[in-house]
Amino acid sequence: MDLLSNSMPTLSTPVDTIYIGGGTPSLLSGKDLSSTISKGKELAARLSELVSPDTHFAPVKEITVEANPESLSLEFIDAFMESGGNRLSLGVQDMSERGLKTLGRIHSVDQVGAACEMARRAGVWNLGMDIIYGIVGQDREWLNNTLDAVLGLHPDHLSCYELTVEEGTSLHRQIRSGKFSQLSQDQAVELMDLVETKLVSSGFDHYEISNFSRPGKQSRHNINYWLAGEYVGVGIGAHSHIAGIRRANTMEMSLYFRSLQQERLPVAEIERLDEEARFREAFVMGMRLVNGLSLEWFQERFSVDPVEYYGDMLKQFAEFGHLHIEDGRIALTKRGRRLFNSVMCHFI
Amino acid sequence: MAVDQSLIRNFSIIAHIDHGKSTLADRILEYTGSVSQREMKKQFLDQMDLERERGITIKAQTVRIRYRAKDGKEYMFNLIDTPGHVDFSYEVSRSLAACEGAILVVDSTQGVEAQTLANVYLAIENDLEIIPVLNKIDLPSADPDRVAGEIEDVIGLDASDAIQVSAKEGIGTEGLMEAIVERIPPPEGDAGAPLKALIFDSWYDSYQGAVVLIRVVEGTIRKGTQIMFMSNGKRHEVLRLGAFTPAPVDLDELKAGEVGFLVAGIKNVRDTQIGDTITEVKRPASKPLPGFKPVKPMVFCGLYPIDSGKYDQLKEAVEKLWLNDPAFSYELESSTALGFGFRCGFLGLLHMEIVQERLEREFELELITTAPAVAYEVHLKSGEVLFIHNPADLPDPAEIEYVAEPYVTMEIYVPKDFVGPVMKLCDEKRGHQVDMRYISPERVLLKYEMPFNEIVLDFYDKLKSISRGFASIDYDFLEYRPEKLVKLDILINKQPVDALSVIVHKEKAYYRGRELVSRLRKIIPRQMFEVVIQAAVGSKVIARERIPPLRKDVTAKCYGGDITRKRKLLEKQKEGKKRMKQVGTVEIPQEAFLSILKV
Repeated sequence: MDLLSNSMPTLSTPVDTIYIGGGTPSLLSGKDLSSTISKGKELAARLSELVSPDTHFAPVKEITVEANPESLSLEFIDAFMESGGNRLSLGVQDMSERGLKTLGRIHSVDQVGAACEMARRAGVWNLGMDIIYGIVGQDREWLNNTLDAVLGLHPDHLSCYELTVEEGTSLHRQIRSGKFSQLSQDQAVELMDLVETKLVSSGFDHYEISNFSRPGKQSRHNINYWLAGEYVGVGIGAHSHIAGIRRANTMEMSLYFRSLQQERLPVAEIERLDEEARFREAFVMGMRLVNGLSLEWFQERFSVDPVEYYGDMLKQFAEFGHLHIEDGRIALTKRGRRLFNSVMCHFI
Repeated sequence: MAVDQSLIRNFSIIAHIDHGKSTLADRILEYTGSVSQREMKKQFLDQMDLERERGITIKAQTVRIRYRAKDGKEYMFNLIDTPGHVDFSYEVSRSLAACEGAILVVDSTQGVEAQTLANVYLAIENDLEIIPVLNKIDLPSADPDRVAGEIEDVIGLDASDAIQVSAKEGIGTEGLMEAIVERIPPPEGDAGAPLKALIFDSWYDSYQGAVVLIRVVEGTIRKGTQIMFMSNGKRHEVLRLGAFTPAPVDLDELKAGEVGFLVAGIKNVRDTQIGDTITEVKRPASKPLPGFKPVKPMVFCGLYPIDSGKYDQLKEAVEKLWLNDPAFSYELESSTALGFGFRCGFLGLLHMEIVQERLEREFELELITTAPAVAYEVHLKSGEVLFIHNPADLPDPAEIEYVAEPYVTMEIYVPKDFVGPVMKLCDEKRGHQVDMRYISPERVLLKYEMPFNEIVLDFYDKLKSISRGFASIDYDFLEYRPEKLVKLDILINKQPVDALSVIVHKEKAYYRGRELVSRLRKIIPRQMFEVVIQAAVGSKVIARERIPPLRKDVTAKCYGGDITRKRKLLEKQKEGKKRMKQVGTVEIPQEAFLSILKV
């Protein structure tokens, strides 16, 4: 903690969210979770204090922990609530046994129900769930059933990701060997449409490419990423973004602990972008938000007017119907969001 | 070193590729001590790396060899090594015209091949004495009697006194040397007559200008002689004369019957055309030697740098090569899809490959080569006749009376088992059969008249594959024949892609159009918009394919730890777009172009 607050540049705003994730935090004992959160809070306070001396009483507004249905325990959730936690992100993935099996998950549909029950009883303020669609063999009906089942659990927040088959995974091998066939582009788009229509008509706010929330229940922590905000990552492989510099901690455990012992930051990668590259990255990241970004925001942050900066290119994509500039905001259209990479690679 | 004309023997070696021509030349050089063991390397006369690697001869070379024969006299041999490929048959004919005799080398394990035969006929036309040599007699599969029989039957040469050698093992070299002395006649020609010297090759040397290989036919040429090229009237003073032994040796004069080189401060190698006659300004010959033809490119293609930023380098390289290769022509060409490049002309496909390889190798360039094409004769209604070698230059069909395309006569030698498939291929390639006969119980000679364009396209590769490499071909330009030819355009979202236009026979347009369009559909990736690919003749669309628009290209997850990686992915995607060739709003990967152009 001393290392972080002494050798990193000062943040420009106070810390107001904490996110415990990566791996399976729900495997922690209640005691370990409590101590992790309290250390997080302490670090947040110290870093915030450095921003300006009178902010250290500003409370952290959002504390999230990731959990898997099979390992969530009453002890864990109680410790979480007692430590001031208020947002739980549950790795649900799918609501069919077949889907869970294909995805290589070890929990059952029933365990999802039980975990939700537990979280609700404990009084979690914001219950979020991760859903994966586009599973090999999935059709509209299957996904529709999953969504119905998920909605029946009354989540406050949903992250719905299309399955990406990463190289080196067993699913990738099976697809390559012809055992499974991947969904076609048209099928995947159909499922994507289903997710969006269904969730929006059920009262969810579609606020980022893959994220939906009940009003007021957006993930404050994640929005910070898309707004090119600063963050401090603690732990093996964690990333930080402070004063325009991106750092990634080493992925090797032995190296990580050796660095700490020698009172060095366990940083493996550092990236420092120039002002223009930072602006372009911020523009592209911001376009993940469904409402996009305001011209004012760019002016304040970078003193750049994107309409002027990108000029004809921006107009051309507006004409193509991939993005629109309205009421002082730039945002992608639905069509533009679908083709995010093909469009945004022109802007990066 | 004045030499008695009666002691000179000028000869070439004729052989099919791999039948042992260069090895035999090596043995002769070794036997006469012209090249020491230390200097000796394989295929001594093939100086270019390319020639050695491919086992072919591209440029002619000469060697002056001293040989003390059994009769006690010292003879002067001039061995003229000639190219051996159909692309260079004119060059070969001029080299042969510089000789009185030829050694015909036939592989006694194989037999007579098309190329051998074509060159033998050239030798017979030039009245050369031919010495048949059966090579590779050391091999167990050698069958010299059968092959001798073939030489008699096919060529009509008396092969009873054919010399059996193994160039590899050095067997029979002496017998061959004596036969050269005894059977090849010495040159004739009056050393006192007005000068007539035949140019049979030349190349550019950056210090001396053009180095010209000549055979003095009449008269005497000396250092300081004011000479004139009879085809173009250009005049020069002889600065240097000499002969290759194989090292260049300076001489004061070359007399009738001798072979050597001259240097005359000639800056442009194009002024020294193969087959032209050199005479003396002071006392010119009344008429030139027969057989001169200006070189005319037969095959054309576009050459573009893969990296369009390398255009200037390509330009420099092409200009340098042009200086050194009179058979190569070029003009500026620009393509919307490929940028700036050159439309180049070649003697044939091998010549094209060689030039391309030299450009890539000697000048370190990466090139895109468009599909090879021939030159068409376009007869306009106005009576004007145009030569067109670029489909883009074809005038409005309304102005055209008719279009004629070059035809060749082609001889194919093929084992009898493959005759059926070969005939079928020739039919597909619009060939008309004019002859077919058995040259031995096993082998057949097929004679066709065929559009040259079909050969240029892919005939040779197909022939090789259906005959398992056993067929050999030779062809010779026949004439221009009017045919129903049309320009086939490929349109992408209604915009014609110039680099993909081709001139095809009307009856093949539909097939070619379908094929091109369906291949393009497979290699153009889905775009943000629908892409329609059409093949059209004039305004008539004959084939159409559609590439549905890309519907989704989005990364689902992007949080704090992903940002750098995702940004790099987008940057890579952006870089990739730069390498795309843009046709309207459609981006076509360069690889797609390449695979289409390599029909």
